[in-house]
Amino acid sequence: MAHLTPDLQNYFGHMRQQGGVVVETLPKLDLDSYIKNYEGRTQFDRLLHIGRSSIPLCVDALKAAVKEAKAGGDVGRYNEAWENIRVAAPHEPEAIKDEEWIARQKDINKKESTRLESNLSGYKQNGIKESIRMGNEDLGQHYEQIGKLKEASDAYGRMRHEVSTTKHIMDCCQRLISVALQRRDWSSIISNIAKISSIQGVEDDRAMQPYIKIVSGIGYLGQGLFKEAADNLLRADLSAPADTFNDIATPNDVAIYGGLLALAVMDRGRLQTRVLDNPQFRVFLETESHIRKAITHFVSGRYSACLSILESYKVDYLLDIYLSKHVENIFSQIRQKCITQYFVPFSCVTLDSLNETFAHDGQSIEAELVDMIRSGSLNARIDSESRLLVAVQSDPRLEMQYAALKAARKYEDEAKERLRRINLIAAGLEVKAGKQQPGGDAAWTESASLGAAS
Amino acid sequence: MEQDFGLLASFPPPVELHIEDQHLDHAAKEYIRELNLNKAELKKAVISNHAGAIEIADPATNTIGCCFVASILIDALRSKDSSAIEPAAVHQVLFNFLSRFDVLQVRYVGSLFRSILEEVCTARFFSPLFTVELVSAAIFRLDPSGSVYTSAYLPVAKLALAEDCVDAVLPIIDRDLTFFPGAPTMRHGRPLFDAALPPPYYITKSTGLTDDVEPAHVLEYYYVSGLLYITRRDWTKARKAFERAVTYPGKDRGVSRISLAAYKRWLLVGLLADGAAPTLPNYTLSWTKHSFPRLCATYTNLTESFLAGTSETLTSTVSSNAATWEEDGTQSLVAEVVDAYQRWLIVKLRHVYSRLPISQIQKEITRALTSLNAGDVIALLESMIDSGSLKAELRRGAAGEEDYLIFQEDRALLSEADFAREIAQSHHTITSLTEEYKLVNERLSTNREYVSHMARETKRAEKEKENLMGDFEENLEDDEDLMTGAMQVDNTD
Repeated sequence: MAHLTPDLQNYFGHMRQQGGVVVETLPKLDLDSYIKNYEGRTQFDRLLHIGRSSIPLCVDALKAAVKEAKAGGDVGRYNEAWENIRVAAPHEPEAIKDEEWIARQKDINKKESTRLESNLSGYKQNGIKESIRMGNEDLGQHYEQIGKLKEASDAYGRMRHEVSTTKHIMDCCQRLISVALQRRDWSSIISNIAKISSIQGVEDDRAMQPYIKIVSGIGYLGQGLFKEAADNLLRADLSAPADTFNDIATPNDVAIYGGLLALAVMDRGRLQTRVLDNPQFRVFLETESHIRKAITHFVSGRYSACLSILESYKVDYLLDIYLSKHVENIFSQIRQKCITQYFVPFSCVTLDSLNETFAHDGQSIEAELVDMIRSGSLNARIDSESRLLVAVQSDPRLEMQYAALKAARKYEDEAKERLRRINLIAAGLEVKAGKQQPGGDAAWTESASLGAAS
Repeated sequence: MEQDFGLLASFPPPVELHIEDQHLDHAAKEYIRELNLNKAELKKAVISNHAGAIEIADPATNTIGCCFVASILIDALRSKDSSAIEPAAVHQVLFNFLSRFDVLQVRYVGSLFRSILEEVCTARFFSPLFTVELVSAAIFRLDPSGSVYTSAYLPVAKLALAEDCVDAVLPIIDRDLTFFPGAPTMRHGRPLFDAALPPPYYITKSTGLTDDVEPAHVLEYYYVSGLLYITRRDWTKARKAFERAVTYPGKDRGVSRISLAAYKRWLLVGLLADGAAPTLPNYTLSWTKHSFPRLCATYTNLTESFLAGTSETLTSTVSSNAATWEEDGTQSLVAEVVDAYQRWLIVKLRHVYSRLPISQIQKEITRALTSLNAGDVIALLESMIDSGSLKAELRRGAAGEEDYLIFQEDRALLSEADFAREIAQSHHTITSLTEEYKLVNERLSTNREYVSHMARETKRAEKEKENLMGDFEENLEDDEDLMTGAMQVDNTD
């Protein structure tokens, strides 16, 4: 664990209060080589996220974030990074605000905005559609670079009016997706990716295939739809070079996202066929062999080995911008699946053996089992006397009898209710709005007093 | 005088004649016409010799005559010159009439029968308990199928609730009423003497066996039924009764205050019946679904607190809204809900444990609600096991050993014969429901609005069918390749 200065202590105390993820352990990743895998604006986002989450990497990441911000033209980003480092490490040289750079950059940005806007109005006067589309694209790119994401999104959106080829539609949607990813606008990502996917032949475009699948996966992950996210990520094909999508994610990220989500939502059979035996996804898995090992352990029934591998990489997952918020949920689902699968071949298992396999040292998983049984994910009962987890074995005959009688009664009840309602309506006995029911008030006064007797 | 009693005794024709229903129908109508024509003389004769009249008009054989006599006697008793009439004799006549009337003849004197029933329902003649029993039995005999709601249901239900004689009214409250007065009269062409005539044909306003009712009347009946079941602590039936008031059909976003009051109680008895929040059935009006939870936020909060698993929120919700419970008259029901909380906590443990020590149950209850010692917990468990609300066995440990609660299967396997009986019962119910649906269909077939609606629907369906064929033919013409045309049609499906 890193040495915690009073400033860092204050900084992370504040982060915890805000409900942010705070990681005390040193991750396996090397910050420099990790960030070099990415291109574009995601680099800053990832550095800032690591800086705000990881105690050991905080200062280095925030310093790198300041440097990255100053390399671009986004004054807002610089301010954000500076605000963080000012609190976390006030004695670092980066903690001194570069007012001169800010003033200069603001001036440059303003001039460029004016220039591009006047260009665009010129194009509009000329009425050449292609020029207007390109003018909007240039303006959008400029706004995106200087961090005016809403204006960028509006400019890209205006491109749509002038599109004339499928390539234009794809460009427009990709630009909008890029901004939506930065704004964490998951529904916009999904709707734009659907527009790209609906273009005929795009799925066969080898350069676009991984982009579509990875962006869809991240969009669904952001919405917490793990099954849909896993389905898309597992279909990504690395036939196109990784630099076609490294402004969003790396092949390592795809392996981790896809593998973890598959572990969370798929059974053993599907993990084998959809993940381990999937030649397309295997290419991704090779970049993160620990995920492949964890899945192999799960499929082979070595659940504790699977969980311990994932646990050892949990810190790294928590430092990923898209995965961070969902790590606990995904881990909980995987763990519950491990316990359920472990229990499947047995009619009863001792709580001690479950503790040995799944509980942390000196702790009991009984409370977790209780939660799982209550939520319906584990069909078993706890025998506290014999310290056993006993599978619920239903009598098929009993189930059949109750299902049949339940269906018959439900049918009877529904038929009676419908008949009652038909006849009430046929007799004109519906309650009508705004009409005092004759006799209703008197009757009601009396019934209210009867109600009090209840 | 002799002549008047002679007229009174002129019905029914001797049984030995084996007269057909049609002729009996004619004879009954003629008899009533004669009685009405000579009503003044008959009244005089009955008042001067009511014993003789009672003897002649036996309710079992001459219900029509008896009904006239009973009506005259009630009027006389009510009027100022009633000294000649002994109240006890009138009570005897009413009792005899209501308990022994002929279910076929009474259909011809519906209005008189209903007015007698209404008079009796005021509890002026008999004790409330006896009144409720008598009227309930009369309603039951009049409609053995128990399918038609009449104007007599609500007064007797209210009397039973007010006088706390619930058991006596249960035979009629338990019925599944599916027909209501006010629907268009059906032309059936069958005499009222036809014993096979379904009740919806003869319990109508035109026969006088029921008066017209208003929506508030029916709604209040469901509401009062719910309250009656509450007094018996039959939470499941109470929930069903309140549910009927809550899901009552409405027009133009109309809801009744009775429905709203029922909704509050429906939530509470739902918790008591199942230990879970009740859910509104899919036929509930959408505006009811949206507006009621908002209008009854205090009650929905209470429900959420009950299900939250900790008692702190429940007790604070209950205490901070005491004024609401008092205003709505639900405080005793809310107290029941609080009382049921720990019981449901124990019952729900069966979904997690097959057996667990008493100390753990004690811990769960203490954590959730209140501190109880082991003795109290055991007493509570024993009472729950005895009442049948908990299917479990309490195994007392030997000295120094822990006591355990062992849960048992709460569903028992039925024998083949019992299962067959249950299925046969369901089959019978569904078959009789099919008959009722046929009746509704017949009734609706004479309704102008329904017929025009059906005509429109048929026309639309025919038009769609024609269009589909048109498309197909067009495709055949447009496409040289017949298979392509067929494929296109398939795709449109």
